[in-house]
Amino acid sequence: MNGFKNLTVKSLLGKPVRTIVLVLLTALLTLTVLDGSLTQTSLEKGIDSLEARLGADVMVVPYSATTKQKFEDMVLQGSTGYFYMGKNYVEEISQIEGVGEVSAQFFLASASSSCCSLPVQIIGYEPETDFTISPWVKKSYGKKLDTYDVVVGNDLNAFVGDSLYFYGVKVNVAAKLEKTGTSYDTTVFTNSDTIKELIRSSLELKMNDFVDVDPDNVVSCVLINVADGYNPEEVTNNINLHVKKVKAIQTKEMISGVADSLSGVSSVIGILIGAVWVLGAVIMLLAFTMSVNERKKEFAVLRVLGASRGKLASLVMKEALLTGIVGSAAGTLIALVVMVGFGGLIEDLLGLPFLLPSAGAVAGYAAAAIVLTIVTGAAAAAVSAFRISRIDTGVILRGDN
Amino acid sequence: MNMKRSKKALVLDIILLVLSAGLTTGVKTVFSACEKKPDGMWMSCHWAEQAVFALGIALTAMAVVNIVLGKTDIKRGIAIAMVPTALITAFVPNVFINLCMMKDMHCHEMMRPAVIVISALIAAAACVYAIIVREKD
Amino acid sequence: MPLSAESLTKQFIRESKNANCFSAVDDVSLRLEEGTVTVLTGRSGGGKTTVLNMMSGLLAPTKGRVLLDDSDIYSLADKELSRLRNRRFGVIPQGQTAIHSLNVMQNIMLPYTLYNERADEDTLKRAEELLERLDIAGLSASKPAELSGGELRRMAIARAVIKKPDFIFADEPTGDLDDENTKTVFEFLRSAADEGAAVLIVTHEECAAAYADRVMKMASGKIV
Repeated sequence: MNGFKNLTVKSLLGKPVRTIVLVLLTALLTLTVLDGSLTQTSLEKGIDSLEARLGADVMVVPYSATTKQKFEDMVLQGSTGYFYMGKNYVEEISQIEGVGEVSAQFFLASASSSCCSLPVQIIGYEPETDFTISPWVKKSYGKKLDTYDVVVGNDLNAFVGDSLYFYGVKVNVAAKLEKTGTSYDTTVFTNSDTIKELIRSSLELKMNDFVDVDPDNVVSCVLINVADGYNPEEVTNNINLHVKKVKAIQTKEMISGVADSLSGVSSVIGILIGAVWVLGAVIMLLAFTMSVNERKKEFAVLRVLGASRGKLASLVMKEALLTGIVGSAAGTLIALVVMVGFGGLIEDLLGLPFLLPSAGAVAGYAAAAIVLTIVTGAAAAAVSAFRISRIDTGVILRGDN
Repeated sequence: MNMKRSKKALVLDIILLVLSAGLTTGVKTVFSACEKKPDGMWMSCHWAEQAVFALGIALTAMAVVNIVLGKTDIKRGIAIAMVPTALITAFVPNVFINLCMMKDMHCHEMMRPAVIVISALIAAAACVYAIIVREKD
Repeated sequence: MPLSAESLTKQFIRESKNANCFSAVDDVSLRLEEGTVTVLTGRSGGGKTTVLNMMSGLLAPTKGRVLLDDSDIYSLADKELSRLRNRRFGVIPQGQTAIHSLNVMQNIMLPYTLYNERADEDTLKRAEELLERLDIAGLSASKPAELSGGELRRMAIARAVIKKPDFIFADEPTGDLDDENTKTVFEFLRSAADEGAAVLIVTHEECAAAYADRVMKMASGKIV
């Protein structure tokens, strides 16, 4: 039996309540740092993901879609919706100065009734002109999207090979996309032919809000990348000035509101982590100081039996290390269970784009949190360790009589 | 020595009871499945909730019997039986019984992770029980 | 190999109106020979414990030297001095000195476990024998909280002598013990000396003289 290590374990077990408090405190510190920093990172990744998914510099939608923030909510909050404007607008917009790449998208929302498998946002794109969705779909599905094939967002409980029904039309799930942390996780993507069929079917079933729409001659949204030498702001203004009954929106502007909320939330989290950390470190310092003071006599006895000053200090440090390791391991486990298991709930509560980093990155954060916690505990104990190594054995032992 | 042994067993008995009862009541309250559809029909996740509830009752009954009985061998046997029962419970949502189509619904966000975590804890506690509560001969 | 104290003086700084420092021990010289029992007696505050602490390497003197094998033990670094104390000195401090989170046997074996030294068969046998001789045999698995004052003191003695030290220092070893326990302790220390150790006992007990080869009296820091 390794006697010295045994001494550490036995000392900790000898005062179970105090040891448990220290372990819980350590776990709390690790939990706070890990989940706090993971949340901050996930928020940042979410907004980067949102920007990447939107893909275009400018989006043009019918003016009616912008009243009551309908379009913004669709993109940012994931609410479902659809609207249409004439196909001719595509041509008109592409003539505006500064407009580079142009691609049209088509929107439809399925209903929560027997006609449809589930109520979702459906977005159709034109494979020939599209520059926002295709590159991303390609990551999960290399082939061309056939008619009646769909690609589903990651948060939909459908799998490759499943069949879904929208307005009575059967479609096949050809692929499932990676998680983006945005509303696109609950979206179904199709090519333009397929969505036109769906729109047609919804009209036939009289379940479409717009009665006199010709699916072959409308679009919902025009996406634009500005040409070289122009900036999105001026192109946006140009369009708004010259094209009637439509609204051009800079994607950067749409995101800026979200970005502000994000930095607000992020700051609050940062402050919370800092506060918990300082409080935790102070309590640890007090706990170790108390623990060592209570056992001054025992330490003096060890000294009498031949323990050097260094050994006394190392005994204290070993206790700190052991509680640190056990506590931070427990804290990490709980943190990961909360973050990974209940991540969906957290995303919902925050109401912001939220994307957990990769498993490797999470492991990195976990390791950093553990190290930080152990070091803090060790530093708190070091003060007591140093003091105990300086004790005057004679004085302490004489204190009895 | 006698006092110490039954203290370990008692603590674990209580932990198993609290977790099992928590699972059973929780799945009908805090982390229940989704509400009825507007047309009055239950969605698939409701049946997952029912199944978890039923298994929870079984686990709670086992935990109660464990507290009441005194013989170590029987208690360990019951604890061992709780392990696969708890593990099966963890697999009910979305594996044995489908949940809703959208992952941001209550059944995905609350019920599934809560059931998995608590069932795993029950299985872990029951394993620990079977290992450390022993008859000292 | 005797242990000799040469002109030991210890001054402490005390906050008082007149004196800034006072001498707890003033120019004390003392020699501990193997196989002998030396008793140091006198009134409280006379400096006896301070002399014992200085001679056992626990307290550096303000002036003077403690020589072992002709070299001053206080010229050693703390690590070496501690090692020396572990190997060759057995100290029985005043009062109750058990480590409460360890049981009796683990307490007794502390001089070994502090340096991660494995206890071999012989050592374990010696421990059992000590327990027998000191009449605490059935208590090896008990925790200190379950022991009486006398039993704790005897445990401390066993702990001090488990490594068969060359020098044994006992500070008021019978402080709160009854007559029977007092007798047991002094008899044991006498037999330890008979087996070759040099024993220094600091005590008030008058009956200690019966077990000693030499009795020295201290008052106000000096040998009288």
